[in-house]
Amino acid sequence: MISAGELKVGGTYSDGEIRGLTVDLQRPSVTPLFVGQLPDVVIKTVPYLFTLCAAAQRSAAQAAVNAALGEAPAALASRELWVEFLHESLWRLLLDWPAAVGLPPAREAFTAWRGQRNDDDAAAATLTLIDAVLQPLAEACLQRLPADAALPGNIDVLPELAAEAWLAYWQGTADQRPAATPPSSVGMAYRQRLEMVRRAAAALVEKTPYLLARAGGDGWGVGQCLTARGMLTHAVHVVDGRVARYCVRAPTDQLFADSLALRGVLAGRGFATLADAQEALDQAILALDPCLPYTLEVQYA
Amino acid sequence: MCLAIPAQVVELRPDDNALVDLAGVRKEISLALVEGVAVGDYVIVHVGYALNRLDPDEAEKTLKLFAELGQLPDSGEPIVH
Repeated sequence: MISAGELKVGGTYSDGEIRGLTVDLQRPSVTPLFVGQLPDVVIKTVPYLFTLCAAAQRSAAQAAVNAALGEAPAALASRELWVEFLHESLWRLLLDWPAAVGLPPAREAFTAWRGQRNDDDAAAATLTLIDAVLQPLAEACLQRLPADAALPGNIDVLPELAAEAWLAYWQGTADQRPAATPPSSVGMAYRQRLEMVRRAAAALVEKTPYLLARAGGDGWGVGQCLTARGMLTHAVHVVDGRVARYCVRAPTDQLFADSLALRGVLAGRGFATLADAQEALDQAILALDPCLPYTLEVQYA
Repeated sequence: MCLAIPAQVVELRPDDNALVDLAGVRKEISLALVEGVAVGDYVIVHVGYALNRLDPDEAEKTLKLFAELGQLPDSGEPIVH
């Protein structure tokens, strides 16, 4: 039986700093399941494989396949996608972040919202949750997070869609995959998530189409779909009606491919004790939000 | 975890917790987010919480997919979600 994978983060503490940060992400690849299959089989299989983002995975797969085969875009389940986005984001903001800064999680409020999220009045329930619970909790969390030296007036929250650039990489005409920009600090990551929740709630109310992009043709296809952690990309190459190659690239894969994003989030910070360093690293990992459990080990040098 | 590997509930425990069997590994999880879970049910688990209860046929289908995946060679493509 396959395992779900694991993320290990480590480093040493000396002279008030974290040094030698290491990130080891081991996850099984599911794409071998898709090779040799009919494209429609892939679209039907994908939602069974993923826990947190099944709707986004299905939509990205559908977009990639449609683009590759020159088909018209499939109907987008925007409401389901916004709710999925909100579920993950509210979990972070109501359960994980309070615990990370020493505050009690809003578990009952989250559980109640979760029970209503597929009801007709889910949009109203979301707005009520944000006003009554999230907003005051967020203010308390922000007071406990490290202050940023300077914050921009407008918080840039939406990851860039780059389906055409991804297609060029996928077809081998570009050397590099398009890269997303990680948050500049823990506080910025928190504020971005908070702002994105507000926008997602508004989108649910206004029935705004979900964020999706596609590019391709002649058997080559790329589909991109927003998730709570960033942009999810599926890429497919169909030959003679069957999938010859398939790639899924998720935000966790990029942000934890190495220690670069973590070092960026912690840049310029010092820590009075080893315990402070461990707490800061825990918060930095939460800011980048891996979609699987992690272990953290920081020791004296 | 992000991969939706079904876990089977093997024991109900106090405080809305349960012991599950996840790919041969037993661990305690919270049932706070789902209702009406019984021993023998399959659930999807994420960071210590059961997210939803699976239809037995769906769980069996998913377990077969992961069993098949465990026997396939790695694609060499970038690791997936």
